[in-house]
Amino acid sequence: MKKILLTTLTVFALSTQAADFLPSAHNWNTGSSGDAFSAAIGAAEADYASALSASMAWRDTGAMIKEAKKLHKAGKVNAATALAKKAHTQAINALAQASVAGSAGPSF
Amino acid sequence: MKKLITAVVSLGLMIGTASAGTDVGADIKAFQGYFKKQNPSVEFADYTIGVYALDAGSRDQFEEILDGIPPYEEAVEKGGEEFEKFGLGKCSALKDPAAARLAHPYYDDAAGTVVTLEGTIRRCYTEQTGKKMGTMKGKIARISSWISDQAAGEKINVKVESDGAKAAYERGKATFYAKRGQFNMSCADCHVYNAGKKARADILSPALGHTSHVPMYRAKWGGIGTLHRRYGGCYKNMRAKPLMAQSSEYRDMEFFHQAMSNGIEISADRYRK
Repeated sequence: MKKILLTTLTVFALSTQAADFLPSAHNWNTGSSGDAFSAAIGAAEADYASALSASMAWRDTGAMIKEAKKLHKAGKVNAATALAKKAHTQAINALAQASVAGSAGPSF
Repeated sequence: MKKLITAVVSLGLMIGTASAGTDVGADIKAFQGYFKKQNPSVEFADYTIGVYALDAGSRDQFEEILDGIPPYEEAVEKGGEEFEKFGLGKCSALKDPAAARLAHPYYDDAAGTVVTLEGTIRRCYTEQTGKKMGTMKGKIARISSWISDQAAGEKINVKVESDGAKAAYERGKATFYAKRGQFNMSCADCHVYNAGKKARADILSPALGHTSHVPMYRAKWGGIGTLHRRYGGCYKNMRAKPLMAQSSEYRDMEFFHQAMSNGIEISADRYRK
């Protein structure tokens, strides 16, 4: 009985610790769809911030990020992740435009 | 040491090349020449009425509106009263309103920035009243319209002379021609390459003459708005996030945009659809 109790406590303690120190990508406690959302929204926010500072952000990206967070909060993880990925794609495209904007000129 | 000297000389050459590469006169010639080639029957002076120079039907409607009491008349008169009320004539830059319209936008070498007429009005308003003024509509648009009216008939003549001015002009030019937003379109895509063509039910206005009648009254707005308000609207239409009115990017673009209309008459007929 003592052995069973000790083993149970050890496993419980270790799994709690694991949740604390493992990076989210390796944290099996949150589930894979939660990881995908965190990655997508993090990337979208970072690239959107870069697009904003280059004055080349797209009109709806900020609203999409907000909406994705709202969906995630409501437990609609798949829809939230899909929207976060869309927002990230917008931010990537905005940065692509920014990379050539400085040398833009007439074509006549 | 040798490396350092080489680096400094290279940097100097690069800066020199950037300034030397700016030929505003050639840009204006090419820009205005493009419109002449596209619309050979339109007189240069007619670009002061913008899109109405390109479409006879729209021009008739425009002239009918002007024949009556233009919807902005009262607002412009109010702008004149506000100019007096707030003591804006006490500021040296606005003492002679007609001259002020002609002098803006200009590049302030000491401040290292483009100064727009609205920027000067706002600064003066704060000096005189201790309050802040908006940037897109209301008082700023009414007062700016009244000031511009005093210069009606004079010709736009933006001067781009110093290296700083040329750099600002080049930045503004790049902003004008850069593709942006979800539609991946530039200002030039609509207002240069496709001016006179239809976008849904509207005819795209030519960029040449765009700044002759600013601030403009727009039926869509039901009031007068500044050029930077219009820039914001265009950005939104292209699904790009608008920048702040009077931001350095918009001021630089206005500097370029107005320079392209050098020689066009300033007009008090500020109605647009």
